[in-house]
Amino acid sequence: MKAKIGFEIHVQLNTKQKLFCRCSADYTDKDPNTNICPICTGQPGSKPMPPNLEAIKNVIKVGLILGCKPNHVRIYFLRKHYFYPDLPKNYQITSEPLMVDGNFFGVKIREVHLEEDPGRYDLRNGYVDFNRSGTPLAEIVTEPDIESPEHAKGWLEKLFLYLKYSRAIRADPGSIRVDVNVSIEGGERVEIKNVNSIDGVYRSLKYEILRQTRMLIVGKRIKRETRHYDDEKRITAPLREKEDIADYRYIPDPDLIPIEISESLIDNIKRDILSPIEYEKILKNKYNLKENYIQKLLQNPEFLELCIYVLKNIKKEDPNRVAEILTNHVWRVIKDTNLEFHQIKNLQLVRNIERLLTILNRVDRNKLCDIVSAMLLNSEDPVNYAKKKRYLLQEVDKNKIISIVKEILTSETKAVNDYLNGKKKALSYLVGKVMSRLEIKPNPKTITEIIKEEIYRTYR
Amino acid sequence: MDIEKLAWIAKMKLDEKEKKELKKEIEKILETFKKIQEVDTSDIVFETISLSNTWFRYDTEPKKFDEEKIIQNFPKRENKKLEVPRLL
Amino acid sequence: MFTKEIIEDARSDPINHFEKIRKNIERNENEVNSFITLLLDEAEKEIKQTKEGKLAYLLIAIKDNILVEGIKTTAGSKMLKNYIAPFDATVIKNIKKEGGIIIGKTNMDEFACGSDGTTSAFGPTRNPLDLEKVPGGSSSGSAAVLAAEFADLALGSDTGGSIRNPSAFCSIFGFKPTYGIVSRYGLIDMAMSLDQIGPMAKDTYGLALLMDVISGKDIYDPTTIRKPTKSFTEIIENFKDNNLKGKKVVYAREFLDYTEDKIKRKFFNVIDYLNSLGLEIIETSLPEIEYAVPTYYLVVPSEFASAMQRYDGLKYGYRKEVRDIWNTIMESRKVLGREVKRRIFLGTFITSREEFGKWYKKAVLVRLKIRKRLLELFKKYDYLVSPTMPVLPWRIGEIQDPLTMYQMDVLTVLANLVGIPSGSVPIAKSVGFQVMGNLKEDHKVLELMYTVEQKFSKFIKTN
Repeated sequence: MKAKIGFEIHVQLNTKQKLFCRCSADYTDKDPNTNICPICTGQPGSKPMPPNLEAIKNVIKVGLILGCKPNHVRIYFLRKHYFYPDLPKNYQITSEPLMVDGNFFGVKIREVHLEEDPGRYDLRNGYVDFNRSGTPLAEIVTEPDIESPEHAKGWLEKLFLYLKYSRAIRADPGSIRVDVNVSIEGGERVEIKNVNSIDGVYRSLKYEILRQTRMLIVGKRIKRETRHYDDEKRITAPLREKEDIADYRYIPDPDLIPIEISESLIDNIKRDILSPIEYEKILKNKYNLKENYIQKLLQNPEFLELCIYVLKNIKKEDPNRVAEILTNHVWRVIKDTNLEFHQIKNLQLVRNIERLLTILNRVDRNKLCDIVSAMLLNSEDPVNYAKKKRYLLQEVDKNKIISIVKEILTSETKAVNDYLNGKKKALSYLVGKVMSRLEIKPNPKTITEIIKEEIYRTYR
Repeated sequence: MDIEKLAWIAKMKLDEKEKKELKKEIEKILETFKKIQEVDTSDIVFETISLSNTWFRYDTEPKKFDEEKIIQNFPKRENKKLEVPRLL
Repeated sequence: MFTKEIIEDARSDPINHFEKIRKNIERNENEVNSFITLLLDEAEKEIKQTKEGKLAYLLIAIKDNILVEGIKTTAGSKMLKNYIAPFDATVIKNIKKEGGIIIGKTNMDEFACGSDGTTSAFGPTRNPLDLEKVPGGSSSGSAAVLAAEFADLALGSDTGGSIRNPSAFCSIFGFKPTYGIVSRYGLIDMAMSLDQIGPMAKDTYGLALLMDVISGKDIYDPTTIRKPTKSFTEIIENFKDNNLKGKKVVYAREFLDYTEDKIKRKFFNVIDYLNSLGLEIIETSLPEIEYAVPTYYLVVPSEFASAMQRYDGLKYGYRKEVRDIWNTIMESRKVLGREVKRRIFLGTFITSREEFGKWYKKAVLVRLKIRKRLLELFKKYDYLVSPTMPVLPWRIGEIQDPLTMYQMDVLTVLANLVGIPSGSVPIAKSVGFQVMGNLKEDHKVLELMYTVEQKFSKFIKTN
């Protein structure tokens, strides 16, 4: 059964300060009520400061990515009144639409606006923490153009990937809140409030559409209502009636001056945005990267930025070789050690990779990660480090290899003759035999060269 | 005028006497003021009273406020958490 | 100039000056009830320190809806009976920076909802000029303090006349600046688009002195604008009698229709005098005045109801804890006074979905119409004048009917609806002469006030 699904998506914006005060917008990992001030706790006499410019820019960025146009009239801030313990003023300051009339992968976007986040109310224990109160949120309102739970899931995944790239939203997982509106043919619109994950959206939709379909089949009428999603039971349930009647008594906030978005502000912001599609083009066309490297790079915007920097600044290297080191070894070190991107000195990484590439052929493959680790965490020069740890095969084992090669050549006379008669396969066979005798496996090319050298010397 | 509904929206509790009196007073006030309906406002566009222009704030390093000054006024607290009654 | 004498007295012997004030308070404050919180011990410590700045050693009374850090700020309400301010209002920061000493927080109508000083949860303030009479409101305590010489200067707040009304009734000077000239950060809201903090003093110079300290653009209040002049005190000090020659002064005949005869006579005395000085006096008709009070008492409760949402007993203020959260909020808000409740209900009603267009939206548009009309007037004229109050002070408790009380604001609400500057000069016992000017012409209003003061305000020194 075809459904009409729309969303109101709340995303946390990436700023240093809160929206109307100077408290930090990073409220995580802090003791309760230690990230507060008179403004974000609605003290008597407090007033909002002028809005955070970065928050405004971020909302505009989100809107541009969604294909919206700026709202070119005076945009007022409104007071949305309702009582709730986590809302200190018992009204929320929310803006009129800043960006309107967009389209993101076939789903029309009605508008994007700015609002302040309330604090956290621990329902079970009766505690309130205002650390989060006043942090900036963007709300994205779509038209009901989504047609199924599967469509919803795919679309939301793409949306969040693109939003991640814009750097306009905070990187924390689980910081999404979606109100889902769904109706099916013959029924009224039902709102499912506050779903916190894409999977939750998918599941709640599956349940709700089934519920509505069943009702229609038995001839019941689907009434317009607000429900909430229970992730444990995987069902939607009606909200209590009193919370259903919401008269927010919106009035323009007299403490704030309306916003006007200038063309120059928009142009400035447009220049900062690159979407995944554009990055993909660059990696493919400019650097000729193989597909699997491209996909790996696109997974993480910060890593992508780092890699593009390396590719841009590295001297005369095959980008695919560089990408191999980056996506395989550098990425692994970052993941395993939780290294922060801002801790990596980009230019030093470039020089180190250049250095690493000069010995790549002579290094034990298994030890590459250790070298890269030392490079990133201890600022070690890869060549000196590899020498120190005896990871360079030529230095350490060349003599050993030569003696083994001599042995093999002595015993594998048939293969040697085959090779001398032009059978290239025999060479590989000899290489394999030598390799099987070695604990530490060097680059096969090295062995090949040594064998050729020996044969030439012996059978000249 | 549904005084009960208003009382709920405004989260105010009134006894029966107060409800009656308040309802009468407000109705009388509105009766007296209804003459503003006769003023022609077709030429008026909404604008703010403030003469200030659009004003944005730069997103610099955050500033810390001493939360004790705020917490001291919490009517009930557990350490730094504000304690409130349960939602029924 | 009276204030200059006070400054001289205070700076030549600060401790002596303070003792004189303290004696006045100890002798008479019981009867007047002008303070909610007295800070005599704190002030005594301060006066012994070295003070520098424009307000050095001056004792200043602050209306109790302006936050002073570390001190109880109650807004005249049981709801905030024990609330300790976590920060200084911007105006207080400025006063402290200029060496001013805060002597106490003054009594006021609860949450500024009143026009006579009788709705405070801490008892009514009495008019020092006649203890049976009201001092006016809502900055009742600040006005009484100056009349009774309990302080050198005072701050009040004005939403519809709350500085000018008690200034007239207590025969002192009061001034409401252009909307946005003085920061409201730290002022407990009554109606955000009308409120202004303003100075109260024994003469125009005192007003100018405070204006120099408290006015100016403030990032903590985005509605603020730059001062219209670098120094208000310099304007007064450099004032010459013929500065105002040829200036056009207009008054509306409708103003006088509302006014008692005795006050009318005093008003025209001033008009005649100004005429004799060479100012041009014009009488005009302002039929819009009929809609001033209705518009005011529709817009204000709407904003007030919104401002009062935050008082739920949960994070500060009075909490009456019962079984669940909604009932706790309702029981706690019960402690608010009658007039406060009335305005919250009125405001909630007219901003509700069904009534919004008919009442709130209409009132806002009518307000803008009145504003448009009045600003046109100022294209032709320099000043708009009127009596400050339509009647003389009534007896405490005499006026109970809300509509009757609201009508008392008929001459003062205009300035707040439009945002223009307005001041009151005492011209006879409990009679004030109101001077209004164009937007951002605060200094010009003070000039005319100063002129009127020279001739008509000498009587207040014989207190």
